[in-house]
Amino acid sequence: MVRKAQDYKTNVHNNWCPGCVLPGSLIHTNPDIKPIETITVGDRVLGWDGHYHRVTEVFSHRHQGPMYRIRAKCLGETVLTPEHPVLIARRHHPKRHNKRFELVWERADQIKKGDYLAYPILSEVIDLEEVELPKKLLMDRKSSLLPDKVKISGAFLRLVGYYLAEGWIDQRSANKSKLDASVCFSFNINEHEYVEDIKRIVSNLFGLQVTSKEKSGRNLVEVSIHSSRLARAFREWFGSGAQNKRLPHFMMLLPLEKQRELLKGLWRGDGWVHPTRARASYRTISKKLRDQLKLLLLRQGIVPSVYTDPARPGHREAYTLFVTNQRDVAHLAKILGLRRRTGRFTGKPPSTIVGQNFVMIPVASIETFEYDGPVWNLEVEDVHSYVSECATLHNCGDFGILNAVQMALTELDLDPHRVAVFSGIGCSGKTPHYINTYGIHTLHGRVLPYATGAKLANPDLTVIAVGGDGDGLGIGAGHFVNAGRRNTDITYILHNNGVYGLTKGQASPTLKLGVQTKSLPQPNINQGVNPLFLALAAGYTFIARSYAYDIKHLVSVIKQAIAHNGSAFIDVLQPCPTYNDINTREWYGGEDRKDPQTGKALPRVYKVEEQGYDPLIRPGMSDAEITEKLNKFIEKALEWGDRIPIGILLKNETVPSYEERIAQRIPFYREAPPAKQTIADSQGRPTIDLTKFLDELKVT
Amino acid sequence: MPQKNSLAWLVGGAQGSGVDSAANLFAKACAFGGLYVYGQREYYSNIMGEHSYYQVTVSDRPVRSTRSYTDILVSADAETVFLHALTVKPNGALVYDPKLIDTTVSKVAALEHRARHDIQHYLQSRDLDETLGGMLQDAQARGVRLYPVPFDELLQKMMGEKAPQLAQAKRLANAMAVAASCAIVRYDIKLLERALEDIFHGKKKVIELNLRACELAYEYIIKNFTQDFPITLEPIKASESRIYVTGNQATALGKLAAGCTVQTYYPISPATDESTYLEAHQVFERHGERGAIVVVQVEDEIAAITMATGAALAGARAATSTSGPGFSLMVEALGWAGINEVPVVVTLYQRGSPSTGLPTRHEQGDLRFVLHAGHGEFPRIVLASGDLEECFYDEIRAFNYAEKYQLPVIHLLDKALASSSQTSPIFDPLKGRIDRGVLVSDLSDGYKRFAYTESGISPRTILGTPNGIFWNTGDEHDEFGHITEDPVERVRMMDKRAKKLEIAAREISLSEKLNIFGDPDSELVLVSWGSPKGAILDALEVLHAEKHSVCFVQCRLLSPLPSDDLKRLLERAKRRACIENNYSGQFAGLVREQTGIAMDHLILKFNGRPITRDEVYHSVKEILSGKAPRRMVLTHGA
Repeated sequence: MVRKAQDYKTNVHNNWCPGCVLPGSLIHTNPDIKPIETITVGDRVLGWDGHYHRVTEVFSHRHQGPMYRIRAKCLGETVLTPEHPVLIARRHHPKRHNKRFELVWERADQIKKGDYLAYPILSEVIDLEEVELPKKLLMDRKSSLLPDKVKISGAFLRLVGYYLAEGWIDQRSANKSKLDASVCFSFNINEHEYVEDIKRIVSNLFGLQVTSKEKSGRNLVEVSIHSSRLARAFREWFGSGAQNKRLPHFMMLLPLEKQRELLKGLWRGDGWVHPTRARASYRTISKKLRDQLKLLLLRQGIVPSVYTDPARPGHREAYTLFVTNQRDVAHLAKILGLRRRTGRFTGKPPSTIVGQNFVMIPVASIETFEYDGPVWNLEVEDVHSYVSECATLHNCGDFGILNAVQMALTELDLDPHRVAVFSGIGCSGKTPHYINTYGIHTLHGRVLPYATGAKLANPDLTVIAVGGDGDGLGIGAGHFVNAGRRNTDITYILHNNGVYGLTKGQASPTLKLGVQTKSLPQPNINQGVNPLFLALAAGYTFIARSYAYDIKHLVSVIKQAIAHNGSAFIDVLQPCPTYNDINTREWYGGEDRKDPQTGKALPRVYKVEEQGYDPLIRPGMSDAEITEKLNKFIEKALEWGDRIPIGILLKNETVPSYEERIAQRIPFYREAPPAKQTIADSQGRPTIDLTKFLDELKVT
Repeated sequence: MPQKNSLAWLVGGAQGSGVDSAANLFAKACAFGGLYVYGQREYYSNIMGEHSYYQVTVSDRPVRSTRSYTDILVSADAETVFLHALTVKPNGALVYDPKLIDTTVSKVAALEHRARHDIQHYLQSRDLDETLGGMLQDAQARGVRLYPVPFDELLQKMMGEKAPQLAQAKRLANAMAVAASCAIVRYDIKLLERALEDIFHGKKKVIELNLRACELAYEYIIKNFTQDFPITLEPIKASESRIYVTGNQATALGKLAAGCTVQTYYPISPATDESTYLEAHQVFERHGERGAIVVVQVEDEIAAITMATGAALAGARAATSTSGPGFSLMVEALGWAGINEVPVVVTLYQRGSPSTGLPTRHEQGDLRFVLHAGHGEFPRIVLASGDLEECFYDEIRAFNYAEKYQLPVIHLLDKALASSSQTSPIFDPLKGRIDRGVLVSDLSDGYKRFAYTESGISPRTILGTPNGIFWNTGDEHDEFGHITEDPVERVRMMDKRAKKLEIAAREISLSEKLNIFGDPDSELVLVSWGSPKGAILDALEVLHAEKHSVCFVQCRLLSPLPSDDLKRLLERAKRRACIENNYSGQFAGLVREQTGIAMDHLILKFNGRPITRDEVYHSVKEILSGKAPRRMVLTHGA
């Protein structure tokens, strides 16, 4: 039977580290913005890097306690549990009004009014030259001949803008064919200029005639393009009904210049700009469209305020974007081609700061309230973050490891009941509860002897131990060393984040001397232990390091560790978004040291396998060869700082496992291990024959 | 009055000089002659040099304890004479090496200051030299017969030109001392030869050498000491098959019989010998199939209990063996096994405590500790064996309790049991029954490891069972084993776990809970637990022969305590006394707590040495005379 990842998941809702958000919280997905509780695995959500990523896990649990409502100066609000990490931009030097910012993950309950929320700008750009029109239907004899493809030009996008603002599909009366449909627009009688623009565009792009008709009593001009084929295309791209209007995803990713034309069309339809003051707005009854427009404006460096007009008699709920400061209105006017000098708008200066990849939005207020009900969280591939209405939210790196374990088990296609996952105490301790195998959540520091006991009693089990660095190298250091001496066939995955996360961030045994993470009142007074060195000295025969944010790598290492016959140790570098503000994802990723030429980050983490490193010590190797291997291992184990190696650093096949050593004494150990001996007959009588032993003691 | 087949024998010497082998040789020689033997080993917690001694009681009736006096004292060094000469009865024998006669008390480096001071004071007050000679002079004055044996000269004679090396000479001297003892009581040297063959199994040269040395010493005594000794030993025909076994061995064999297949341990006196015995007997037969026990020496006692627990989860009957300091480290994991309902067995040999205490000495000071060890409340079963036979059969019970009620079981033993050896009827594993409780394997979906049931006992699976997946956690959990902090679930789980102990208290038979010796309507009811059983039973025989009305209640199950049964028995008694090896009378306190009945007398001993038959006898006589204080502290022992 081939298993799916789902087979290794339990129904247990996590209730620790990563924090959670209130149901109803809107999350930017591709192409939608959806309440978090409607998001499912496989959806794509916007991540902190401004790209869309796959959701790999959806979690929900009951929360009883305080919730934090964080309201941004603009863009809206997000409601979170106290410990949920949020991406915050901090001034490099807090006392000075400088422009150097650092991004940090901060717990919701630590955020203060005036802090800047770092909000990613959708940065994916895919330029499409043209787009295919839907095929002509056989029955459709009315539509004139249209080209198969349409060029995505500024003009086309302006037309799209007009349509999204003022257009609809006119499905003619019932007695006529359903195929007989038109794309229609209404404009104010004064907006003659736009009517002419449409006529020009349609004629150029599609070679179609446009009819326009004045509705004199209502000061309106109605513009129609009779083409059911085009109507079908527009319905497909932009949704049907004013409330459901939206942009297709490919248009969200077009280059900025093209999107400017789109904005032009949109704004000409439903938008408004104050002639002198710094005020502009866009109003629609499609929530989706408003949220997409928000992203488009952010791409242009404009930070809108988001507002919802409640429904009232005769009016549906409406959604408005306001642009209300000198900087952004001037910018918008320039895009729209309004012939004004930028300096002439009067109004307040902007409260937001626009950066290259992020806009920074001040926190306007924080409220807390008591809550008892469900809360939700996601796990997102690669970036472990997602974007709500006003904030970038993180989930805990532990989930990365959890997912990696599940994926490794899936790929190895192991029977869940033949696997036992053991854990210690710490953020990683609860891992077994989320994995649908035997799951043993043990005592602080004791995971290895528990796991060893099970493996020795039944060597047919696949035994995996997980634990934190405090658990394994502090309180459990003795067991860590002695497990290596035994070399039992188990896999030990160490979540190494340098801090004691569950008790609020004290220094762990791996934190380096002199480092001061944010919970420490003083820099660390102890040296950090080198887990790789310790593992070597103890006798582990498989020593690897991986990185929690490189799931693929981690999965591959875990699989090889499980396959290894002997004690396998994996040191997993795992940024703790909540408490370790030094060894962060950005630090490992080298975001602080960009290549001056390309502007790209230079990651600290690199893969040894890509550099031809060979960790294997094979039987038959000479002492000199083995020494050389060990020297190379030591070189890698010592490397830290600007370059951090990950991968399998040692795989020693010359040392027998503990099970093999037992089998030297008990030749039938594998066939009749302790858990599988028949100790009693059907009547419960002991099966053992003690005669030989009793004879040794016999005196009469 | 000449006395046949009843002897209290003591051999002493520096640790590492072969005291144990000498005692073993003598005990086995007696046991091969069909006599009953009880031996108790006393030693310091170091490797070489300090004084150690071994008492062997021999009789034609079952013996289970040591005496307060000595019939024959065998010494290979001066220290033994200084420390034990005063215990030798008038008309008793003292075997010594005459070349040591001028050794002064102050020259014996290993003597404890207190002991040296007392001996000096004793000799000064009697105007005697502070030498071995002085000590012997005093003994002789008390009627003790002296047997100087010139070991060196005899050896010289035997080896001729090839004088033996010092270490070899020492070892041979031990055998010669034993042979001298045999000659004094006119015991057949053939049996000594058989014991040598048994001990040096197959090592022909060694046997031959020892035998020649023994013959020389034997002849030397016969030739030079013609006066009849008042005690003689004679082989008798044994009616049954017997083994001569130590407490550590009996317990280890019990584990094998119980089907224990994983034993973990961290070296600690006096528990280690059990594990090393198991490791040496790792592979065995099981109904034609092969069986084995995996013995793991781990890095500490925390690893010992957690590894055993892991093995138990995987379905092996698993145990660990330790003493008080080790058990102190285990308590957190004991609670984990409690909340996760894991059947793990801890064999706990109590020793002198607290802290490192008296590492090689005896005490029963951990009763209260094991009853409450671990934070919070969780059920456990504690049983205590009183003798070596019980050590064996109780191990089978311990595993049954553990698996039937799914909880940790503590088999409470002590140093006196661990390092005593005894002739015992041969153990029969078939007298035991293995009950693995509700162990399930044929399952469909939706298995709940901690399902609520009437009895509180949920069907159990082991790791690897299809459809039997479960979760364990040290946190409070739901029926699946997932963490919960729900107040309702919490109460149900606590009730469920506690319920199991109620069921156990109902189901376990009275004979497994208590042993009653004598008439419960006696004048005096003695209660005790654990190793004092032997001394009490030996004393009881004498007291009953003297027509004293005394009953002895031995408590074997300490948690759940059979308090109703105890109450019934104690309420009937006119006078009640509790005997135990601790300072505060822990068991007496427990009984009072659970039955409301206070003891009239506490007979306590906490000097690190086991209670002797004579101490029990005299204490009971004092109580019966009505002159005994409420708290009586026993102090015999060197």
